[in-house]
Amino acid sequence: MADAEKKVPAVPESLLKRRKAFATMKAMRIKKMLAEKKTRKVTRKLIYKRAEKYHKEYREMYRREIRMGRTARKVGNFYVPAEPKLAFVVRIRGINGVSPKVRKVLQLLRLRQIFNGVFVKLNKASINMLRIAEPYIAWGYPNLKSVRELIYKRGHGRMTKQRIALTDNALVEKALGKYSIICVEDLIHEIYTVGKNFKPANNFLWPFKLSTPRGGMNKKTTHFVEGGDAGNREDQINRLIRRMN
Amino acid sequence: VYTNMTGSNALLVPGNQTSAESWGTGRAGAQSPGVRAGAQSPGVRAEPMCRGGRMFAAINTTQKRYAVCSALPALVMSKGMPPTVLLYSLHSLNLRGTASRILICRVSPSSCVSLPPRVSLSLLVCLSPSSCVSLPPRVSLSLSSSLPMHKMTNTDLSRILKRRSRNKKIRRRVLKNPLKNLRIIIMKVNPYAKTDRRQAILLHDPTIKAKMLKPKKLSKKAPPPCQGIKRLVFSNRLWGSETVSNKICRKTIIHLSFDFTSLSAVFNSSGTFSYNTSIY
Repeated sequence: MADAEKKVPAVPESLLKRRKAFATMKAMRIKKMLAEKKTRKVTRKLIYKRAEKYHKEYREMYRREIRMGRTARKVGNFYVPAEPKLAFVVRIRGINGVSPKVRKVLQLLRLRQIFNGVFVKLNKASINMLRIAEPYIAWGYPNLKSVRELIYKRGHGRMTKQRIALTDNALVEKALGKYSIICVEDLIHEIYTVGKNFKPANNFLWPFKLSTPRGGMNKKTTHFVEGGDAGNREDQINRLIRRMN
Repeated sequence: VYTNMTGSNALLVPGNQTSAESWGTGRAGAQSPGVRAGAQSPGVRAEPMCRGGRMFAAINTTQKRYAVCSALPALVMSKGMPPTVLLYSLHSLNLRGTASRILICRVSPSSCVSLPPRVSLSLLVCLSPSSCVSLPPRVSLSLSSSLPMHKMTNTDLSRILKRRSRNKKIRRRVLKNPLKNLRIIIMKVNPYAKTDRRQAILLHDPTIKAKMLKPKKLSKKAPPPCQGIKRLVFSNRLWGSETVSNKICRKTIIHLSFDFTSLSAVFNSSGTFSYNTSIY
């Protein structure tokens, strides 16, 4: 070639530089890996403790309801359990021919596709929203098993606008670390008990894409109380979730 | 030129529908924006293979040249690693037997200039002597070496290396259902799941617990009657079960692989944890 005559030192400088850079990078990398390993161990212990704590907590919650009922009845009183704070909403109708108000509400609920499901915190505002969209959704009060199974099997998080499966606690920590939610169990706890950081936790969760209910639905077009599927079915939503998850 | 004429879609490849996964690693060609057939796209809009164009429209020679040179790396990538490109000048006519991976293209000085500056790592560019002569000096600076050698520029290398590492991360495994695979939950996500599941099993099946609590002597006799004991299959929190014959009973217990050292604390108080050791 034309410039084959260029003089080149014994070991080209660029090569030396690259070697050095690589060596320093490698040293740094090893150090970082060791540090990461340590922190990972610590967090893993922490996660274990938290999961244990939640397990206790859920059991206490469950027994508490029972206990309150019993003590009330013993005295001849009535125990009225608190109104549920959490709902799971599933869209059961397609996208054609939807009236604009309903369409907007479904968008706000992130239910843009049939058999998409989301958790919703129940308050006056959201209950009214669910009422508007009633013929298009089936909703109810999920129990712990539903929440856990949904998040474990179909849980995906929204990270940098992508739908990423929750296969690792690191993903959860990255997204929700600042709300001290560092693992999937934390996430489940936050959702199930509707904690202070329910909104970011729930928003992190991509809407659940559920299967068509195994065994079929009754009648999409009528309300649950009429023998159909739409609207609030309270506890029975759990049966539906089992079939759709 | 050839590809243009035959109507293959190679020209549309750079920057289009190929996914990172199907191409594997190190495909700098399609991903580096410089390779995009930018020069030709606007011109080729009314040409064949583009939507809204006619079938056999005329294609200018320069456009053909541009097309080939821009599509070269992409084409070459799509054929596989490491392809060989023989550039020979108009003067040299000798064609060796062409392997499927060798793209031969005629290069004139002008078209060499339009070769994208980022020539990929896996392109082996053989310059026949006569074509070396005809290469303009500007080009030879970027393809900076002598006869058949891998060519790359510094910028290219770092890009490619980055690509390689990034591509590795993008590739993902098939999701496994954590509800069915306990390992996935335990190992990755919830370290407490193991103890949780263990407690649940102990709670649900009193026969197992009783079996745990039985004294050691039973190991000498025939295996204790285990009609009640069923093989445990971890699925969903309620473990499905199958009845097994007596012989297999003990083996199935072992499959549970409990961490007996931690369980022994529980049974210590009843003073009968020696049975635990007999299983192992």
